[in-house]
Amino acid sequence: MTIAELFPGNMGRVWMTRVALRLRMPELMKLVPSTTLEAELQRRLAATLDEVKRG
Amino acid sequence: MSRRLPMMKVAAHGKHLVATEPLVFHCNYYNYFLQKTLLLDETLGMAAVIQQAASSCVGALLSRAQDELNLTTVEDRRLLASELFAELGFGLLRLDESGPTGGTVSLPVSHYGRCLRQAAAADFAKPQSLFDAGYAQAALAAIHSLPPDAFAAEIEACQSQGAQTGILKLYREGQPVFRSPGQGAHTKSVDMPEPWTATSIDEARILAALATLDFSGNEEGLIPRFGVMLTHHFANFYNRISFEFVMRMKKSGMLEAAEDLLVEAGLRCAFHTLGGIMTSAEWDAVVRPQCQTNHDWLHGIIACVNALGWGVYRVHEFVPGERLVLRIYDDYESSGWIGMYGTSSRPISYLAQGAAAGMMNLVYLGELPTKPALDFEKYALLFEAPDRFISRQTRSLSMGDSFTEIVAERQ
Repeated sequence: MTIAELFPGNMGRVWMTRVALRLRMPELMKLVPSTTLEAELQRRLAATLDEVKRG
Repeated sequence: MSRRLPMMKVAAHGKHLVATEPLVFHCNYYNYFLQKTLLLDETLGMAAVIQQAASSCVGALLSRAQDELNLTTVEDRRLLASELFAELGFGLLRLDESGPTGGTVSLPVSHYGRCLRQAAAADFAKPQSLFDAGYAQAALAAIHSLPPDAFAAEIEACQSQGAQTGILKLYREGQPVFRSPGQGAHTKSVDMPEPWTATSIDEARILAALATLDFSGNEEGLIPRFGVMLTHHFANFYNRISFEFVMRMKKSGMLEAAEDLLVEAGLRCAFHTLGGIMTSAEWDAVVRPQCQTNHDWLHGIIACVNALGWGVYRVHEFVPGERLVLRIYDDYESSGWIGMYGTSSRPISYLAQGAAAGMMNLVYLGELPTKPALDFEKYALLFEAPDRFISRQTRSLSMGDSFTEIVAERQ
């Protein structure tokens, strides 16, 4: 899975920013949308995305 | 609803001052998305900052209001603290089980509990009534003539997590407070232009009509208006929590990302509150009859914004459907920044940036005359539009300019 698939569109970019802040991961903001995510990183980002999407 | 409260003064440049504290209108969506952003990184310690900011602003207002109204008994002061809480749209606050050593404060209704839950459409992992806790700390200190840092508060139950009633436990423990700067910077010498003339909108008439509406909290201490839950909130609360967040993010390597999220909270605010105004019965009665073209909708909503306590918004340049240059006189963010920190090295009017782009998106992409539902799907539709508007701040009162300037253009 790529960054763009996990965080699609402009809204996805905002969610990715929230995830990056949550994880203190500035390097995430520098990845290009076509970057393929390693399985462990993908799992971690997806779990955090679920977390920040909740209240 | 009759409450004995200090008088609100509409001061120069549209400021709403109560016992010298500036107030601004904001809705539960802005309060939700702002707080959501601030609490993302738990290592920043923002929960404590939010509570402290509330305590500082509320303490400043209540102590002055008690003097202004000559309230000397505990009962009268408790009543003032509870009635002010309700009047400003924060809910219902019960202080009768608390005293000079602390005790229990209950919240049968809480904007930060109940209405943030509505905005999020979900329960929260952590309690959201941090503002209420800070309010209660300040109220107890003011009621018992104790120093503003006399109390700490813990949230035992919160409506944001499904509790029927919010419960706060207060106890004596020194907590840091900051000195609220009141209205902060106030520019006196600048020549403020008149409202945009190439429009059929009559701003003075709109402001006069809005002044007749009742924006006080109802019997539940809430202000349901324009499809949102409004609060008449402390400008320096927003300022302190936003700016302390910015300060803490400076060391993270993600300052710009953090600022983007503050602007996004402003976009949410514009979408829900300003969009709510533009699809309201009040708009249909007062503003819409003045609109001859869809461009007039923009000038109409700017006139309404000038009733919110955010400063005075003036259109400096306008290319219909393409470009808006707004100049804002005494925007509350800059006024607060200068009052708290002095001159800024970077532009800090995040809410204003979100508002400017948000208004253009609503007017030119939102199809508001059809009265669409202003839900998350509609927000996403506007946010994903390839020709949506984005803002940048080109001047800032906080950086030494005479006004704040925001440019909104198609991306």
